[in-house]
Amino acid sequence: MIIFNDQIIIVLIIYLLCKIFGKLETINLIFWLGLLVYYINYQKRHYIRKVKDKKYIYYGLIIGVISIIMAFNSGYFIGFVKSPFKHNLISIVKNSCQLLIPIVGIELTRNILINKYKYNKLSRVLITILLILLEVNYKISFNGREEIFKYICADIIPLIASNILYSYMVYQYSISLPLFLRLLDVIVLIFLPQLPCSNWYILGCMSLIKIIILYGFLKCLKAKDKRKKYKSFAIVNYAFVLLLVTSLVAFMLGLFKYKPVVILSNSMTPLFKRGDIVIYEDVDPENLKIGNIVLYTKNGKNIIHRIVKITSDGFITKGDANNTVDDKIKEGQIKGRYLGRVKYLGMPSVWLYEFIKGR
Amino acid sequence: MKNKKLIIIGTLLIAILAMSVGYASLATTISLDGTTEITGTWDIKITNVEVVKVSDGCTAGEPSFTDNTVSFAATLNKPGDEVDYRITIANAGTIDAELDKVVFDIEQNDVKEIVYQVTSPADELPAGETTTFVVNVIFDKDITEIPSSKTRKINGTINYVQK
Repeated sequence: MIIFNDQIIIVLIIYLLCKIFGKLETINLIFWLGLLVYYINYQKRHYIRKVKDKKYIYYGLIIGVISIIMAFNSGYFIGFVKSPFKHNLISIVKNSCQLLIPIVGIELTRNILINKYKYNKLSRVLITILLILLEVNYKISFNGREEIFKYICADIIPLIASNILYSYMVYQYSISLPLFLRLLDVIVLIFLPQLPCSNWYILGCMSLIKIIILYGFLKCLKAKDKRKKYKSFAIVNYAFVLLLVTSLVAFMLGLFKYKPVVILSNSMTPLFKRGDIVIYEDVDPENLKIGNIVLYTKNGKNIIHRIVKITSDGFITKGDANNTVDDKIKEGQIKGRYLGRVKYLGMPSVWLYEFIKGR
Repeated sequence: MKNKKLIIIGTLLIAILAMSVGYASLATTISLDGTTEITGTWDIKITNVEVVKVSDGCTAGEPSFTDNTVSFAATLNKPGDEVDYRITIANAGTIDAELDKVVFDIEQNDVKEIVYQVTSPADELPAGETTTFVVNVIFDKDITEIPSSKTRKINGTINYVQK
């Protein structure tokens, strides 16, 4: 392959190997700074012209702002946490150098290489794979399949999808788009004292939803550039799909009044069985009666059983198929009341659970 | 061209659906932490809590933990009895961290016979490294009256911030 004779590619592959097999954190910044200095001499005129194109800077800023709005609006539903970054001047400068310089380095590399091999699809694919590999954290260790699954969902899938989008942006439009998008994301991250809460599921889904929105936005831009009108029904379809997906994620996170839970055991047979999905709703414990089925937490696990006795200091529950009652639970442990169930819909989750837990 | 667009959108939707299936199977509790998606990552969490020392006749309950909280119960019978728990914390991200706060408290601590002591490691936790805390739960040697309930549940929170 001709790209393997390219000086930049060779340097990047050596850097990647050092990153995988050695401890490279200390020279990470120096490497990207060095590469940036090299690029100042290397950049050909037409690349610079394209970077300076006001239209693309404008588009880059728009998608950057869309990305930030999306990320921070999620905080209003899920909550905010204190930023792990310090906000004194030295820390801000240090964080800016550590986070922004590698991003500028990676995006300039993408710009030069994608434009250099613009007419060779395979080369563009290989370049994108190389850039993905450069951003993977190789130091991470896993304790079981569950952690691997979460890491793939929260980091690897969004990393692959976003890099494909960035390469597409550079190929079709300009480096300004991925550059502004990423820089704005990081700048906000460095400066804001509060950040939206997140877990692996929110991180993974939000990243992919963001990519779907940005991809749609780019398609509109392309139609506009070609002076075609983007068909209104296509926008409606697109918005409908987005609404559906966002609603699914919000439903899974329990942001609506009605929430789902997958049943993993047969203790409530025949009412519902392993693999069913149960829908429950928030409830005031004072409104609970004997015979109600409640979802409660014990030692971090969800249990959904029927109330058989109410005492002055709590509730006694029992699974319909169990011979004995459970330990007494307190009001604070109750998360909701059973509403109904959907048969077999949770089977894929059960299979995945068994695989992840190695059962 | 239209097919290509459908394939791209479809693949992304399938990925979200797969994550939702996984989330449904793993969502026992939602633990919230600050993680970033960029070249620098923040990923500090408790990876293990184990019992390392139990006096004869005492019971050390199975500890439970989330990313930054830990909970365990110990039953101690006589003055001088003790149980030690070791909490392992890993910084799997790429940002160096330092200890922000360690808060432990005993539930139903109306009687003070059973106390605890936390041995903290160095405040700094560089990226890629692990550290351990030891919580020593001890029945006060000097008391003269034995309480009726000798089980204590201890909850703790350990927070790190960027160094």
